[in-house]
Amino acid sequence: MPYKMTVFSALVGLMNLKNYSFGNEFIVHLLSTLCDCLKKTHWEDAQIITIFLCSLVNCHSITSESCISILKSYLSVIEHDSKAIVRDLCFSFILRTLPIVGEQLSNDMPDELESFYRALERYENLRDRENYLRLIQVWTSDKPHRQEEFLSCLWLQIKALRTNEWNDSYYMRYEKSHSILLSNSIAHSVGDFAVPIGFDMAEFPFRMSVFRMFDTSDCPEGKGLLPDKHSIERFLLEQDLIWLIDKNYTDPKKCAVELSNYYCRGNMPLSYITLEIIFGLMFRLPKPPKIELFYGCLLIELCKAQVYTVPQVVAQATEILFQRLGSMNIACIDRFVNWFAFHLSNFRYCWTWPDWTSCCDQEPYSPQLSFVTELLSRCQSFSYHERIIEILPDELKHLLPPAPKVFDKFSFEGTVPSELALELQEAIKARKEPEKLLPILFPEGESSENGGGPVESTEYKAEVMISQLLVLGQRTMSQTLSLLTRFAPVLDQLVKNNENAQLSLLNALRETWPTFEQRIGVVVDKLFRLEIVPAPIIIKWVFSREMKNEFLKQYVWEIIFSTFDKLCINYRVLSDKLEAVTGENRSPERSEDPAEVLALQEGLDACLGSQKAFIFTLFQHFIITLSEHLLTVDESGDRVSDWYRIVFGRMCQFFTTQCIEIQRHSKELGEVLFTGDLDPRIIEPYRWFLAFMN
Amino acid sequence: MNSGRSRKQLKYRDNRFQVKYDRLISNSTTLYVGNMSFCTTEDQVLQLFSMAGHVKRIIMGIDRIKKTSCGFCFVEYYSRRDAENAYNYINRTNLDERIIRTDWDVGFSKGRQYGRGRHGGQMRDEYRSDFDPGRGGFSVNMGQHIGIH
Repeated sequence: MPYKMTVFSALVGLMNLKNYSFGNEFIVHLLSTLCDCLKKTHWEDAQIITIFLCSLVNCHSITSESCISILKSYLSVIEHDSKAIVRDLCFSFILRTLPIVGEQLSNDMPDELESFYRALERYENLRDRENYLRLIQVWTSDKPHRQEEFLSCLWLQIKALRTNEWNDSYYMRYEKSHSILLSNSIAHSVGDFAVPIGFDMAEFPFRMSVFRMFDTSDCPEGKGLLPDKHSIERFLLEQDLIWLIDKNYTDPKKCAVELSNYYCRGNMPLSYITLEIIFGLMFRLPKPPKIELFYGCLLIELCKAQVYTVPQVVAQATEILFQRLGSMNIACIDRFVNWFAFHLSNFRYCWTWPDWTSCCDQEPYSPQLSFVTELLSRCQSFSYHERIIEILPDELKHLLPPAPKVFDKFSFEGTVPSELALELQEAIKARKEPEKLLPILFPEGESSENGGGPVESTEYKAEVMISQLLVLGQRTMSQTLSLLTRFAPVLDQLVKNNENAQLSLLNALRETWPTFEQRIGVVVDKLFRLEIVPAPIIIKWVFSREMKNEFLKQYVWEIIFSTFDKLCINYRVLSDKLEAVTGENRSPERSEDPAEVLALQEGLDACLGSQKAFIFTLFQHFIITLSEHLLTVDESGDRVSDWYRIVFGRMCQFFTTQCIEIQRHSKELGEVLFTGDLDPRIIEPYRWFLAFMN
Repeated sequence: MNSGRSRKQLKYRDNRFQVKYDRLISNSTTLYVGNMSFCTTEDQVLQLFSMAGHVKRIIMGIDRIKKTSCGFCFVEYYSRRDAENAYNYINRTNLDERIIRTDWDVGFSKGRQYGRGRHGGQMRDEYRSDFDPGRGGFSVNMGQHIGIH
């Protein structure tokens, strides 16, 4: 329980006073656990143990020399390691430990502490901290709050602490109540501690930016002041609350109760800080620490636990988020839409909707109009068309898409019915076996040489086939999916190795369900899982002319990212299986089967190949599309548009959220795609990405 | 002697069944979902449960006689972890403005999609005394009782 750090350090101090050998064993064990966590790359656990171990200096359980020696071990890595991300990690370990030990060290060995501080200052001054920040900021605008790089912000907080002679007003220093007793303790010396080598194969935590949303003017008068954002007290409080949330992440209700009961000294608007932290975690880039749904549930439970304060602050936060959509990262806007729709669905869709009617006057795809449109579409998915119409003011009703309705263009009134469509329809309704449909689709003797009837293209046949399945299965999702599964062999035979036919399939899908975004996503997912449509074709489809009017909508990008996510999950599943068969931890019963290992290895290689193809295909399409747009804009002298903001944002989103997979190919991407001859505005995110991952 | 053996055997079977059940539950990727409105659609269930991960299959509970939705369903995930997230976070949230319940299930098998109440729906709707507009109004027994009068 790291947020009760000082309770337990005082306890250890008192126990050491009573039993010296216990103290020694405890410290040896702690040091051993720390080394173990570092080797296993359990970074946050290692950080907590480092802070706790060093905090024992306050209780005279370890010597001041030992404390600063531990910190110098991390400093040594900073001064010798070549990887920026490793240096930053060790810098973080030191800075996060200093607040709890600074006062004691400045009393015991002020000159050495000052010298240590100067060394840190030199590192901070030469650190690259700006090049990647753009990728991970929630807001790119510095007004009203600059979203600072995490370590830069922490450094400013440490400076403030030093200016205040290393005195913080945050920690409950329980050991001070026993200071006379503890001064009689015999402190232990920590043996030589060297940060375990072996960083080459490690996975490092991501760099972070600090989420800032509220300031003093946002909080009601008489409820205390927000601690200054560059005070160490602000950092320590936020850290404790984050640790508390992390500890209770499997039980949102308990988490909400713990947060509600949290005590901290001084008068301050704790609900504002708590909500800022939760939104900060939910919006964190590249990925939230836990799934987004957890934070959504936690906010609901907090609203229930503190009914007179939290709901009002949530509403205020929502309004602030809405006002600042113009500079918000696209990935975060998606999360905002998903969270708020979920939240509203738990509170009967009650909202001050009239406050948002002014966005109707905005240009299509401007930030706020786009947000409200996506939000209403999502609310409709949680509910149904008539219900959402009921809760909206008249001015907003037209933003809601029509109730989903299937459109069969092959039997549309006023057109000549398609014979092929009718035949297929009858065969499917009659529950014919799938292979019985093949003669309908591929009649004998069909060829232009025979001089028979007009030859129907494969693309046309694919369109007819999928549209009839969708029409006949329209009543429920399960019906649709079971028909697709049943007739998958027919679809596969129609479109196998035929890109145009595959694209026709996807276009027909969208035409058949013109406003049912969720159903489109489900069917694309199914076609991909059934291996009827490969991932690169889905990308081609999204960027095609036929999808021009859908290109900026959220569901389209959910399809793209969900497809890549399935490739990543597949890789993890195969990796785990291979590890179970060949790993050091495999059970003795399972002897290694060479054939099985080979098959799994081939599966992994194929999977990596699919990921690579996806990454290169998607970036290629981004580059072509953005380049064309910039060329047009530059020629006409227009300013870059909302179209550009969104598409460029989507490319950045892919770099950020899939950075681990993309890293495998970063060198080749630079050689093949993000080359020097491109517009600098398009290469820029690639350079941010390189800096972020270095 | 014979009686003693019989009791012992019965107990052994019970224990074996419980162990098997616990193992099935601990590896399950399927949740039972209860207290749903009769009007809730598969698409709504998918929208909510997809927030926890990739959903493999949804099977709606059906009135055995009328073949209409009767207020429960099964949700199967591809992975155990996603199912755990759904279990931890979606239980007691709102769907169609009703508080739904989720619980681990050993896995769907054919026939379990039907209500087991005497009138075709769920057992719980046979005995409700309240009027629930999302679940067909009064309980079927009470309705019948009123009808008799």
